[in-house]
Amino acid sequence: MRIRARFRKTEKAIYISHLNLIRIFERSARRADLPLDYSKGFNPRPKISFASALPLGVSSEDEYVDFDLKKPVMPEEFECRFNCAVPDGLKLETTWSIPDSQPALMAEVGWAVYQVRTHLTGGQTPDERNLCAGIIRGFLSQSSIALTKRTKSQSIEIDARPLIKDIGVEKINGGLVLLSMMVAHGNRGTIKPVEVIVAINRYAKELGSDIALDMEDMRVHRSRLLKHDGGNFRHSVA
Amino acid sequence: MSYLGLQILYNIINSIDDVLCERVFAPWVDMEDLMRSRGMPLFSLENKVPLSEFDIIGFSLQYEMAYTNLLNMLSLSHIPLRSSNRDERFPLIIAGGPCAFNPEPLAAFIDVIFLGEAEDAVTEIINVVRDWKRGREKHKSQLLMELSKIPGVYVPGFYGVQYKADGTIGEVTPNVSGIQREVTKRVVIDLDRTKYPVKQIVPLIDTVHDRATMEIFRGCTRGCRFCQAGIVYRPIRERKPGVVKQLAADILAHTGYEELALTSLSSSDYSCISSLVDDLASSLAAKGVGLSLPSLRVDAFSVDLAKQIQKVRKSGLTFAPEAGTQRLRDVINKNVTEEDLLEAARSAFEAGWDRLKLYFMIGLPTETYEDLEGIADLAHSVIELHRKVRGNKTPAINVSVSSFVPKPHTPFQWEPQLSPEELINRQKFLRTRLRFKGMEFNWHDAGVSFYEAVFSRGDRRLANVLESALSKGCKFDAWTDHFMPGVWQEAFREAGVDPCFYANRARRPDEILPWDHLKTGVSRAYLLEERRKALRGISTSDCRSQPCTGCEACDTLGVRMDLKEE
Repeated sequence: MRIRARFRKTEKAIYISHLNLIRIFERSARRADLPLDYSKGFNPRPKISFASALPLGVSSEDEYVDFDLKKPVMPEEFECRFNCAVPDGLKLETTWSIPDSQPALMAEVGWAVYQVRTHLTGGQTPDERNLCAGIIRGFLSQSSIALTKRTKSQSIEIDARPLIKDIGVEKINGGLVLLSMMVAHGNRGTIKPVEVIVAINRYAKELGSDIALDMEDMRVHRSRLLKHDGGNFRHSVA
Repeated sequence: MSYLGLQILYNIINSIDDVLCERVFAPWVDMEDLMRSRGMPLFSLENKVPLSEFDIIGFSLQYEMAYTNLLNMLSLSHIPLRSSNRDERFPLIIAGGPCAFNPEPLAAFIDVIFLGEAEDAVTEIINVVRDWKRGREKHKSQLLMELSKIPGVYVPGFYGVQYKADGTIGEVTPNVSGIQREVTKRVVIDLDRTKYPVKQIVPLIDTVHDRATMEIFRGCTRGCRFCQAGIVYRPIRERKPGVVKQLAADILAHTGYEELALTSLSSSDYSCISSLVDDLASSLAAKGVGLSLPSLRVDAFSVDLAKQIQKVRKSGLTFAPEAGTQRLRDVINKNVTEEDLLEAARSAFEAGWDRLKLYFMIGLPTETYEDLEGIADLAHSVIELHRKVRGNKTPAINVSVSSFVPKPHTPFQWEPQLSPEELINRQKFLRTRLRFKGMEFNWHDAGVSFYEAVFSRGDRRLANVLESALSKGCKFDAWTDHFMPGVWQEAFREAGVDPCFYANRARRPDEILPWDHLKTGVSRAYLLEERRKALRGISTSDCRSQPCTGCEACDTLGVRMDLKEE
């Protein structure tokens, strides 16, 4: 049987890498005496699939994971036992059973919504909010945005504009900036918040502005994972 | 986190109502730089408390090349390095572990050394500290005096060392009244009654040996003459298989680990190993938990054992013949034959293993280049055997060669280490002989081995060298990319100390050694006799199954060998 869960990864748990998260979930399931199903063969792995791998340092309140079980367990019981066993900062928020025929999480993810908290460096004028909002409006008004994507083996130039749905300035307060952004995330294209910030800073520089968004003390939080059509993964209770 | 003793003591201390125990590890160099630049002192992991706010800081001396890290951790905590510069405002600094059996290079820096097994003593030590804190006498010397009365406790500051003109030791004597001339190690009598950590700490990040650990027995009497552990952990005391199975089940339930290791100095020697492995392997396999048996002797490995271990997933297989010829193996009393090794390798290959690790040592007493050829011959025989059994599959035979370091309290404690130059020559020789498809050759840095030999048999005169090396930036010396031999050389030179005096000098049998006042229970006469037999190539049997060989540990310590039945 398969159980899907929405979970959060916050506080100190943001320092757990994705690979370690898999192992932590496996061990938590064992501690909770939950009958995880394992792959066959040389090196049996637990059948746990995630919608997405969260980068180190990024918190989230809307992550999804599927667990394959050897024996049936009521989702409520699964959630309760698992949450008792899991380290601080991780928590299953809702849990429900899904048919095996349901598509894999990773295939369905198309978009992600992030909040980025950072501060402005460079010229500090009283009208910061308008200035920043103006820069971002201008940034989005471009028909194309050149971005270099680096993989282990190569660098390729892509157009990032179609990958950015929207960027909003939520708050600016004494140099502190809170942005929200909806960007592509999944097998049809992915752009990371930090890549967007880099592109914004480059745009601002090209404009001749000395305002920039700080990248050293930046905090990123993912608030939503969405499907390709913009729909969410949440479990609708009939 | 690979050290079981840490888990054992952490568990015991934290179960005492009014006592808190937290962990700290040396931060890596980049973190240290950040901490120093921001004036952030070293803090404990659990609650981020600065080390200087603790009452006691305990270090486990696992390896001599970590001594600079120990001092660096004190420095990072703003705690004065020298014991004499610390009054009762600072934490008490205690050290134990294997290197505590010759802690003399650290004598100036550590307040209290503990010899042996601390399961009972740790509570005794804490009780004394607690009473002293509540009492009127607030002087540190009073605390140290009370602690020195606990069996197994050695307060280095209460002893003075005199040197002779030739640089050897004249005498080591108490400089305070009421202190015993000698300190004998502590031993736990009944392992079944000793508190074993069930709630083992499960790290959230990658660590070494990240698995559930189940200690099945302590001690080893095979009597390999280079091995310090075989001497300092005597006598053998086993846990009952029933106790092991229950503990193992509890540990797995608490931790959720996917691998359980049955640990000891020589796990295949455990009296009930076959039935234990049979019982465990099935119940573990049902839960998808793998069984790991590190420290398997070549002459006790079998196909059955192999099949049991690999039921869930294959862990690595390591065999340690240590020497390349029967002659040399007899000298070091590693009573393992070529047939044993090939049989073990065959069992492994037939059970489907393609990777094998083989451990050897170079620089052993009486070693010749013929013995080195023997290493190459053995490695080649193993590869040939693999081809016979596994056909065209590519083998991965890893030959790992370390350099012999004479250790205190062993029959070879009087032997010189070969010079680094000669060690390098022998490594080069082996490299040419081991260029073979499917064979990988690893060797230890001869420079590190040299300094390991210096500190392993060092005395108090090395304190200045340690402090100097630290101030010049030496730390993480066990990491080859951080080891700075040139700086160490400079530190020795400036301190006027010749490192070769410690590493490469043969000791006279009548010489007073820096650790003679620290007792393992095994007599000096026994070690000398073993040395004599070694030079004649005569073996000594294992008292586990053969008559007593007269090491005197059982009588001296008042503990008997404790073997269990099926």
